[in-house]
Amino acid sequence: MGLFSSVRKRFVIQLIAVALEEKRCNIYVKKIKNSKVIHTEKKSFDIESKEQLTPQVINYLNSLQNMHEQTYVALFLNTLGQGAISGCNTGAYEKFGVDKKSVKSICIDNRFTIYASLIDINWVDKIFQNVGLDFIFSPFLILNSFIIKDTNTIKKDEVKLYILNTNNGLTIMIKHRAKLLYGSFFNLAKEENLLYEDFESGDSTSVDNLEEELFDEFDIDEESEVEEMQEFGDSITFDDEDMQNGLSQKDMRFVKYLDASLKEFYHSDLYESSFISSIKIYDDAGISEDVIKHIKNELFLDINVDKISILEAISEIAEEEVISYA
Amino acid sequence: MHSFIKPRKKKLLDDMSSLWLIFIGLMSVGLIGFGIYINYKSSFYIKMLEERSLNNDKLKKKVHDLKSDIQIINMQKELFDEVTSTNLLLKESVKNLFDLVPDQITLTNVIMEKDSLVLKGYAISKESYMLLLEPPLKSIFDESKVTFSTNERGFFQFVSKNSMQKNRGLADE
Repeated sequence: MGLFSSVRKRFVIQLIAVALEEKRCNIYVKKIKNSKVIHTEKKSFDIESKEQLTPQVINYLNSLQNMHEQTYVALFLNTLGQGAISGCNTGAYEKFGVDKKSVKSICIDNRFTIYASLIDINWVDKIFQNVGLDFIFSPFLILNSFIIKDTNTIKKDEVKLYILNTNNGLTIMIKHRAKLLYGSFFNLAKEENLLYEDFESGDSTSVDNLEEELFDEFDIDEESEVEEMQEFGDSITFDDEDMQNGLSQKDMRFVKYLDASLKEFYHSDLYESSFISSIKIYDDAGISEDVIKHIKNELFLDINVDKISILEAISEIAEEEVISYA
Repeated sequence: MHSFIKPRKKKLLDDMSSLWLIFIGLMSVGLIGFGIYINYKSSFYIKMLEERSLNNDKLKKKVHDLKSDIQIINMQKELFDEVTSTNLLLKESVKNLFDLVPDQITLTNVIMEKDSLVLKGYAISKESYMLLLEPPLKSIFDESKVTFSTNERGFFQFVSKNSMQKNRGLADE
């Protein structure tokens, strides 16, 4: 293996990071030789739907793969059937209601588990059947890689909320130092039906409705608890006026999901709720000022935004994987 | 592994390069094999050469021995020839000597050495010896002494001692 990898280093390793959005396919190509980056390329294709790659995309990816034997295609997984849970033991799966048999899970640093449903993995595999895939990376893994790099944030003894803002996905992790307290992934491109079915149809901006639904979902019976939650919910949700204040649909969803996540974190017994002291946003899609303002005004949290490139992060992780495992 | 799937197996080289590598590999194996064969062969020949040169040395020695044998034989032959010729000469001398002796004189004893001759015999008279035998003896030998005595039958008995200076010898006659 040692010989193989040392020989391979002399050849060009090509890493292709792919992120699928609803109507776009973003591709980042990086070529490495002798541990040096010799070429990078960004390309974006229009696609009909997330479910199918267009011939142009397939041709482009295949022509890249034909150029170099050592080509690795890494995909950013942004399907809903995934998550991150604290702990790596089987007890953790049971606690969070994850069926171990129907998911593929990876334990990260012996601290937390990221998982994705086998259905979703097979589904993306099928989308890429004409191209081939080498890596499928969870958004939690990407977000975690940013957090790890940001050594200052881990040092502080505080509970912090981390957000990975991508074009069509919202990844949320709440961590106390290296310990994961909460993890959740949302699709920003379209409504998630599971919780907010009547969010748009009814009195769309009524946060109370939403809260009711949320609580229904959580199955909380005791009146007192509900009241408590209601109070808390009021304090962290947004006013109707603000919501309409120039927020796009996507931004509204962002805010809404963040809100729901915070509620879940604070109120569900599943999580060790501690007070979140600040928010760090790793922003790939370009977060609007309004959203930041909202968060600042409503949550009274210190907020810090870093511009990042999700595709570059994927290619970096892929490179590490290639060097250490492949 | 941090990915949900395992990467596809990658070939280190494309088909053409691996073909080349296999070709080069086969060639080098062939060359190495040939080299080993040549090396083996050459060592075989070197060994043979050593054996031959050893053999050559042996033969040279043998030739030398034979040459010295030939020399010895030649010497023996020379010796033989010399002896033969000496004998021949001696025979001739003896014959000459006997021719020299006249009928009136009878020899009883002849001692012939390389450079001396002792004759003993009878003569009818002193004169017959003096006339017939002494002159030729004197011409041959540098010194010739004779002593006479008379025996009971009345014959003159003589003893003639003749000698030559060295380096002449009877054979020179």
